[in-house]
Amino acid sequence: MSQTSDASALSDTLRTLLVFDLPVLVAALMALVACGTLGNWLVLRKESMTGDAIAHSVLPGLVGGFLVVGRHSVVAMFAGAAIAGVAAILLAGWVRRQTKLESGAALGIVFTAFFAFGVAMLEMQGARQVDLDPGCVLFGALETLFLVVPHGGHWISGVPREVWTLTGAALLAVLFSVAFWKELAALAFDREHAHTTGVSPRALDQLMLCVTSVAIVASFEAVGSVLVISLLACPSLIAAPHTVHLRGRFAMSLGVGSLLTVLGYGMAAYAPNLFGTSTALNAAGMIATLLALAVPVSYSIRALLNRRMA
Amino acid sequence: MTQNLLPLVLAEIGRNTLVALLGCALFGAVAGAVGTFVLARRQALIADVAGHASLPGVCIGFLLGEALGVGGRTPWLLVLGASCSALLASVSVPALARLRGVGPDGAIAVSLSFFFGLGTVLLSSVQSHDSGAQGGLRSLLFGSVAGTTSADIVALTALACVALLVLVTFFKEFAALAFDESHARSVGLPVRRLDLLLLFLLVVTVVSGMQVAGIVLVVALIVTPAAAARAFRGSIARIVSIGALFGVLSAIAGVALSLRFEHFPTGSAMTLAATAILFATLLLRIRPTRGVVT
Amino acid sequence: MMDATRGALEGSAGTRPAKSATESPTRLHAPLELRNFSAGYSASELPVVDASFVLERGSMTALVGPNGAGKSTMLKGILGLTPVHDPSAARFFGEPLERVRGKVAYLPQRSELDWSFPASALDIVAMGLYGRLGLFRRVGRAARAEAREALALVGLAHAQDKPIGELSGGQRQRVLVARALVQRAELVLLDEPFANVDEVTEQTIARVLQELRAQGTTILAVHHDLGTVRSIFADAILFNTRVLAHGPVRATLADASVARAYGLALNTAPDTAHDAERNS
Repeated sequence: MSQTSDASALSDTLRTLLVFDLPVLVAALMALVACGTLGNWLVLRKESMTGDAIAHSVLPGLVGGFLVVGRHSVVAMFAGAAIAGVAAILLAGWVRRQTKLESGAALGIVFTAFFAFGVAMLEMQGARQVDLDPGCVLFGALETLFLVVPHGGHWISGVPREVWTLTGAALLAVLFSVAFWKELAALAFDREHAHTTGVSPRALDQLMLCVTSVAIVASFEAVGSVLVISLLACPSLIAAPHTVHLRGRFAMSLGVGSLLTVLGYGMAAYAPNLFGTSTALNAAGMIATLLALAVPVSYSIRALLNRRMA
Repeated sequence: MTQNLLPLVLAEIGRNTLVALLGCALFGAVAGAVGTFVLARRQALIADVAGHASLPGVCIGFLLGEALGVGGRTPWLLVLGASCSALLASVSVPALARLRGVGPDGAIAVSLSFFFGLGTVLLSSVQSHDSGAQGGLRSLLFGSVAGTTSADIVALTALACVALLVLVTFFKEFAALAFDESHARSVGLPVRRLDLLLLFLLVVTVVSGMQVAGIVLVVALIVTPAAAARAFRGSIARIVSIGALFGVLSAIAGVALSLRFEHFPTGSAMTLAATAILFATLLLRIRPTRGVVT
Repeated sequence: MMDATRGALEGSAGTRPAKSATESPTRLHAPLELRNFSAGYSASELPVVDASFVLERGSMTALVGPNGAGKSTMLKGILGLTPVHDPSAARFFGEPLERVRGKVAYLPQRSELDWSFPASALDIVAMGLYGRLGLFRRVGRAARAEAREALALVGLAHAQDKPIGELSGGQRQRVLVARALVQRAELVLLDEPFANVDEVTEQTIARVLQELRAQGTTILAVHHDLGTVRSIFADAILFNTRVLAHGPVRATLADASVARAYGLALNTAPDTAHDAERNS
């Protein structure tokens, strides 16, 4: 950890916050915006598991991309992941048709196979070249995203690469949702009717799949697959019992999601201090747990409110 | 002949490995057989949740073992913890799915996030213990035969036997339920209780295999061989036995591969072997048995 | 353009503005014409076999048949929502569907939709305008006004801001009808618009359909209640996998042919479920 010249002037607490906590929080919040926005559509379409499947399937593509290029390259990462993701979805469709299984089971078969392959690649020879730990794939490496500013450099050059990719993914997810808001809503509510009015379900599905894959790949490395799955499903479901309009649903899911993300990070980073241990807990896992716990809590609050009003 | 062969085999691979191999084969058989019913009851993704959800239980078992002074890696504590949390998770899925707007998909995602998220938090806490034994917990993620102790294999075998016993005892009822629910209802079978029993069976199977197949990938051993078995025609007993056979083959191939290649996680190897078997059967194009499982 | 839209909707109680002459080429053709139309997922299981019929402009036809006769599948097949044997077997105004999508509206079965979807009645009705609005255009003031008028036509002006989850079954059905209305289509295909609805809704929908017809809109509705079919529809197609009869309601639904369509057991009220959904 190098220090900036002016950072040394700041008090220790503030420096810790700016150098260590802020980048992590920005990364987590960007992942929330990217996955949470798209997750709202997935939940409304009853396709939460597609996100889960993509999150697992892209691993061999990521590793493959790194191995081919020989280093950590964003282009190779996205290209490899995209190939793996598309291959997995196509293969799952084939398995479903061949076995007449429900789509969830077919997805499960294919994504575990892809994930197993990716893990094997990582653990065997590639593990030394590729700077990606199999554990991180699951749990993320949020804690490692601190500001590393070269001596004399501007602070902005020290922002971790993951923060930039995540910000890009978040922007893309929001732009996509705003641009196709009408069509996505119509498709989610009544697919067949939307089709008859000239919205092409297939084209929009494919676009959605691409944007979702980008968001997942960008989030994957930093926050891990557990938090990706949680971010895709939970914020939307937290808002579900309290919102009756689409805009409200998006606003509440992202708002409450952000609060819980900050809270989760704070608990992971600082709660152990209260118990006298110094090691921080896994932040991604803590946020994922909090978000998931908030879903039944949110539904219970709704039930209580309804009872009071009745 | 056998008398001559056995010492040779033992000398080659070692007695412990042979025991582990037999244990894995037993687990594979149970997983393949149970998987047939799991698929028919559309609980494939619950198996995924159950696998992931054993992590927090394992960690609690570990911490409890440390606190009690019996050591973190006490198999029965790990197994007990894993069973409790996996069972809780699998029961939570149908409960969550009933909430308006959540649905089966959302329920799986929420339950997975909660239990596996909690597991990662607890794991990071376990790893801060200076006991040295916690290194083994990491290998639980993707499975490791090499890392198992003989006590682990005893636990695996015991659990697999429990699952086998339940499966054999209630085979008739499970078969009726899995392949024709409305008929099962009409003859007065307690469908809800049988579904719960199947969840229990699933959890016992998952926990049995978690050390060797890994909590993340154990679902593949349950679902994939059973999916391959559906490509065959025949009686329910025949399809279940084919599933078991494929499970055994996947497990043995996985163990062999992971022992042959250093760093090849056993769970990955088993999963890839099972997937290879599935694709082979599908490509050989034995027509799916229509109407047997819908 | 929006003025014309408004005129058309207001006119639905009286007259519809005359179409310009430039539109006339398609007017020469029947709104819907099927020639040996077959639909289904595989060749071995075809729920719709060799259906052939022509709907005249301004006709109002009930598609009648027992449960599982393939009525919904036929409607979906016509609209390209389910695999069909030969897509060119269905012609709309003499053209394939893609070229005249704006002239065709569809009302799906209410029970197939998720009513916990976060939207107000007005939001849903506005969805009928999305096709005309096109990509990247927001639902503006004019579009909302149009949707509001359609809601008023089905007697739901007061409920425009209500979440759809709080509407009764009949009200939900009327919202779907309003969504079809704003499409200002010349051919409206409806799947069970009268299934499990209350008295008010049934009368409202029947009135709206009659008004549409009076303006020259062609209507085809899947309907299985033989008790009401005569009072609402002028024509009927008796259907069970194949077209068994097509013509004026009374002649088509003569007892003998109905018995044939429904199998041997003559059942005048094949579905007696009433408003079970409304109470949920």
